[in-house]
Amino acid sequence: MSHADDSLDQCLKCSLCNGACPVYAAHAEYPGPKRLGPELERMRREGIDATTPWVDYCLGCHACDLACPNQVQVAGMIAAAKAQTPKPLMRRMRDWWFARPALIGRLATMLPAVANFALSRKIVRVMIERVMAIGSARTFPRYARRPLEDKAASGSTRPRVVFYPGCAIRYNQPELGSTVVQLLEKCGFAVDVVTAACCGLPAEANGDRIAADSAARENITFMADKIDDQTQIVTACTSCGHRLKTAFGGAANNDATLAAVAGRIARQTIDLGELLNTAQIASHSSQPLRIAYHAPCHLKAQGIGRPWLQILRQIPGVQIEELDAGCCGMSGTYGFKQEKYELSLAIGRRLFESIEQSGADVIVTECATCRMQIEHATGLRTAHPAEVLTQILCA
Amino acid sequence: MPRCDVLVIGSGLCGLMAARTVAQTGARVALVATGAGRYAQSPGWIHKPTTDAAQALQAFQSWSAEAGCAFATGTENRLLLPDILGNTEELCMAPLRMALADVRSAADTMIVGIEGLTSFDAAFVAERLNGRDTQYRAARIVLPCALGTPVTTARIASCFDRDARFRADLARALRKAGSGCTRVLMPGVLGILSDHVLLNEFASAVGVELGELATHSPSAPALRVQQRLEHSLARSGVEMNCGYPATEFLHDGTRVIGARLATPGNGRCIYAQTTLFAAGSTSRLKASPCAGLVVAAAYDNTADQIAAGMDAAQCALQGED
Amino acid sequence: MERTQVVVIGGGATGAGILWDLTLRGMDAILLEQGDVANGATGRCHGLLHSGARYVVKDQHAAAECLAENRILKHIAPHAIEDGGGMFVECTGDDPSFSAAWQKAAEAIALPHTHLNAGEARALEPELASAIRGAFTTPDAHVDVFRLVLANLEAAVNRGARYHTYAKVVALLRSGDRVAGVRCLDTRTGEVYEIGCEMVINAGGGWAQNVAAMARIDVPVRCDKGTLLVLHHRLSQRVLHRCRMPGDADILVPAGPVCILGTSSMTVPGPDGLSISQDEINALIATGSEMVPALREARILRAFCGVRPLYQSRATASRGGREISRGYHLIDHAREDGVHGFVSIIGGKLTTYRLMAQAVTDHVARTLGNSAACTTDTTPLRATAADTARHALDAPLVAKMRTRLGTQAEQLLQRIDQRPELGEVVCECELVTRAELEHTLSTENPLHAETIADIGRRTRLGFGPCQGTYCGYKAMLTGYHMHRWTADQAAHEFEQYMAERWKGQSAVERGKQAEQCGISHALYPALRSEEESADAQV
Repeated sequence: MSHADDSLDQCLKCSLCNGACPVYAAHAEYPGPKRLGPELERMRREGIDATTPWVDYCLGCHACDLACPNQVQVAGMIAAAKAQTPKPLMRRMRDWWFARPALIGRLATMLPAVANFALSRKIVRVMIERVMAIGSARTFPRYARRPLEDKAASGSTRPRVVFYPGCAIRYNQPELGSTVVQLLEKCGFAVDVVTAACCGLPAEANGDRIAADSAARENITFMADKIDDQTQIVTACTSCGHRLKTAFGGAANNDATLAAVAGRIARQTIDLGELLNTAQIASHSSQPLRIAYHAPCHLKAQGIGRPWLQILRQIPGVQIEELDAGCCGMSGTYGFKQEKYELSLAIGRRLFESIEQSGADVIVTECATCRMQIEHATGLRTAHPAEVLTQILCA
Repeated sequence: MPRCDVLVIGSGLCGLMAARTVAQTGARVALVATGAGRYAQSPGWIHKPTTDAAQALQAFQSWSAEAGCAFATGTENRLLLPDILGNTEELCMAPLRMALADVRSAADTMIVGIEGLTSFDAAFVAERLNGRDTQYRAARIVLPCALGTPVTTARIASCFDRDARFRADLARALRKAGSGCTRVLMPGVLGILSDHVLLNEFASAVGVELGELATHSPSAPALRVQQRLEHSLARSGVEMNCGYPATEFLHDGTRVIGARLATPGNGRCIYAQTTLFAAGSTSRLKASPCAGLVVAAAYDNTADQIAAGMDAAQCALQGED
Repeated sequence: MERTQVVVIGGGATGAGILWDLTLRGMDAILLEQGDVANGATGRCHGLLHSGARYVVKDQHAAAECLAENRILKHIAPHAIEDGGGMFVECTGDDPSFSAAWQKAAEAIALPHTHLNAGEARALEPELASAIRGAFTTPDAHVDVFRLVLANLEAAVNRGARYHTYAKVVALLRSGDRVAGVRCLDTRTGEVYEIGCEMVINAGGGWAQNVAAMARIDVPVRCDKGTLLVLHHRLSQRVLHRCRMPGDADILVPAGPVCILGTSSMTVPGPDGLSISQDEINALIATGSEMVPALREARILRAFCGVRPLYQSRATASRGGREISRGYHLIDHAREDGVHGFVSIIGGKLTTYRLMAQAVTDHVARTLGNSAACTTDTTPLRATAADTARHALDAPLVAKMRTRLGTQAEQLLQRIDQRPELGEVVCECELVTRAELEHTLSTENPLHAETIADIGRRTRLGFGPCQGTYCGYKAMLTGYHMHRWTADQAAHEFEQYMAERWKGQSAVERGKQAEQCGISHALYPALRSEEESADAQV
């Protein structure tokens, strides 16, 4: 890291990052983002061995970055340290798989019935816990029979957008992908579906910088001829969206062509809610609907407000409240890990309690793993806001 | 593109007060800030103003009561509160629980420290404060659960917010430590999300007058106020955008028409009739006079900041630049 | 009256080195220091362990001396030395003929060096300016001056030597034409006491003139002020020099987590009451950034200055600071001034402190009839053994503790294993644990701290960005808790400490450190207003 990133010098030791960190609140021994980020970063630049297993406990939620009054890139420093931290063999093997959801998705969707059956068996899960250190109490996502496939909008005069579904929609919920496409078309867009590669966030979160960067480059190359200077790239997964907006530039390896496309991707990526919020959607809900809305951390990290809250709030008959109760604790693959399973639930406890008190008909949030965690912890029904909107529009 | 009447940059006391003042007129307000303002890094109290701030302070006090973080002014409209060195500071206002630590109180006081919270020493504070009219004693309580090494105010505050049983146990421990006294003073750790109603209930469970003392940053009482005021703004329809700084003012050639934020990807633009700059002198974004832009005066003094916020809001509403 | 053979005045590197040498040769000695250890020039320099490269063109003899001492110190005090190497950078615009002269001179004294082209140099040190011509590698290093001085004292104390800090010599006791002892003031308690001895060594550095004056002797010391800046984080891994005739701001020394840029050179009347102007700081940054551009934007933690006590013989009276020799001078006052039992050692530099100590001790030994040979060049100050035992404490904390404490770390780490609460990180910027803090404050430790600033010199507590705002307060509470201070004394200690820390930051008017200082002021409003009213009175 060069001095050009001077954010390390900005830290005023105020500890507001610690106060905002969901892990710091839920785990008494976690040293907190201030230590793992800027404080240890000074030591790393000194050249001493500052590796600590605690960096692996960072959720990557960016709450510290948002809380920092001085724009220290705390989460980025921790992520970089994570990539340098050695792990025990079993966790290394497990995290290798976790870093590659697209690979798992491709394999599982080849024989979805087998995969889903096996993953729902207690005995298999106990074996997985033993061999892979994955919490056996965890429910696995179901894999679709047919993953979402690429599609090009043909010969339309309507404004063209590219929909980037991400692994969860592509392999686990392709029907959500179709819903998003229909919704976009209803709002007057011609839609290309570009599945490209995994956005690389799971790799980054699992400390696999190489896989993360190669995923980024794969995406850049794949998208290079599919977007011009205008085409907006729509994401319905807030984590993919955050990744596309922030991370690809760093993976360009000083290659000017790659960097130019990465820059275009960053500038032209737009969250589905962000896009629809500018469109006019006239409708009303035939039945009164009470929604509790959870804003995923990576939506907050995008700094685009709460577009879906605004969209759904405008619909007569819909009563929607933001839960505003912090992180769910799932953070993609984090909550699957045996050593972090309990912690993951503890982090989300405030959210689960406020969900239970809300008495809502449905819990709505953009993030697939947030939904997974909420369903696992509360047993309540969750939905992506696009599904809710489609239901209302089609009713 | 989102458009509002007034865009406020900065969430210190000045920015918050400005947003409040504008929002009360029914105008559409957006607020932009990086993290919490400087106030959240202070102990949480309001200084004696050096400018004419009476009207603004009154407005602030009634807003704070409405927002769930009531401030008190103390007898003779001033407070004498101990800082963490046990020196006293004359102030104009403080959050209710902090105001109860006034050294002029005749209460028989127990200062209660917390095992493992090494940034606070009850015996030290008591010994420093003794020799005044009031007699101070010191005690130490053990928390009902392990909170790491060292225990920090942020961790205790977070437990306090999350766990009703923790609150009940803490109240019991405080009641025991303070038995025989009429006032208990403890470091400011009573939650960040708590409002004064919850704190009043907590204090009645303790059974004696319960006050909070200043701590190092992060100061839970200050963060609590920040949180309540931001929440109150959001409820009154202010669009809150915390986490990313404004990097530049947007111009249409003649006037400032909003600001661009350093959000990821295509930095977000917020357009406004009037832009109100209240980010203080240390902001990287520097404001120079321009039509459509109101620059609030920057002060170190918290009371002056509140007054400056109100003044700037009035300028913005009158369309003065 | 306490008695000893030799009294050493001055607790800098030279004094501590003398105490160790005397002790090693079997002489009984007491060291007296008016403040804390390394309080004068020793504690206020770059901490640069010269390889001689800087002097090689101008003074081959001095350069060879430095090179020899560089090797010796790396052998006897490895735990105090960060041996990252050095680099002499040829900046565009600097005279190319100097490089040729430098290389020739370096070869003449067999100074190990390699020439790198610009690309190679920048690959090793990415923050170097892109417009450099090339660089030479050298065996320069960073030496932690506090660790070095403490190691000398500790080694001496372990062999029976005594030392007192906050012991200001107020008079030299005379017996005819001999100095027969000293009268001393304990500046913390106000107590006055006397020590009788056969010989007094004046190693007072910038204060040597004052000490000699007590014997009505004029020692010609010229005080040359040098200002240095501490930067928030490391910008290089090696000591960086400009490859040109020595000038201002041409050395950047990476020291632990920070780096230090310096220095200026300016003659001042004495070592006390110095101040630093914003102009000096700006000039240092402007020159330094020619070699390392990032200095322009880098955060300055604090500015400090010290005086080089230069020996100024009458012949050199009209020359400027950099022209006067940085060599040392031993003055035998029996021969020069007819005062027996009294010698002064003046000038010199940190790198040659051991050699100076040897010269003084040779002289004293001769006078006292001690015939033992000097062995400080071969005797390690501390036993060295690599510790690899695993501990419950988080790895970076263990690593830090081992760099700071060397073999002593093991004992404290075991203590933390038994009592985990001692593993609390008290100083978060420098990762100082409670175990270290309590060890430093414990009176059972012969080198214990008297003040909060003393704790910093022993552990680096408060040396990071918060400059003691949070950790200094915790250290104060710990001192109170350990019954070192009453509450009022503790508060007073803290006030003194913060005033000094604020002073170091106040010279830097802009930027993040000014903001940091503002937060600190807001936390301790009463201290701030006292300071302001004191300023107003001045």
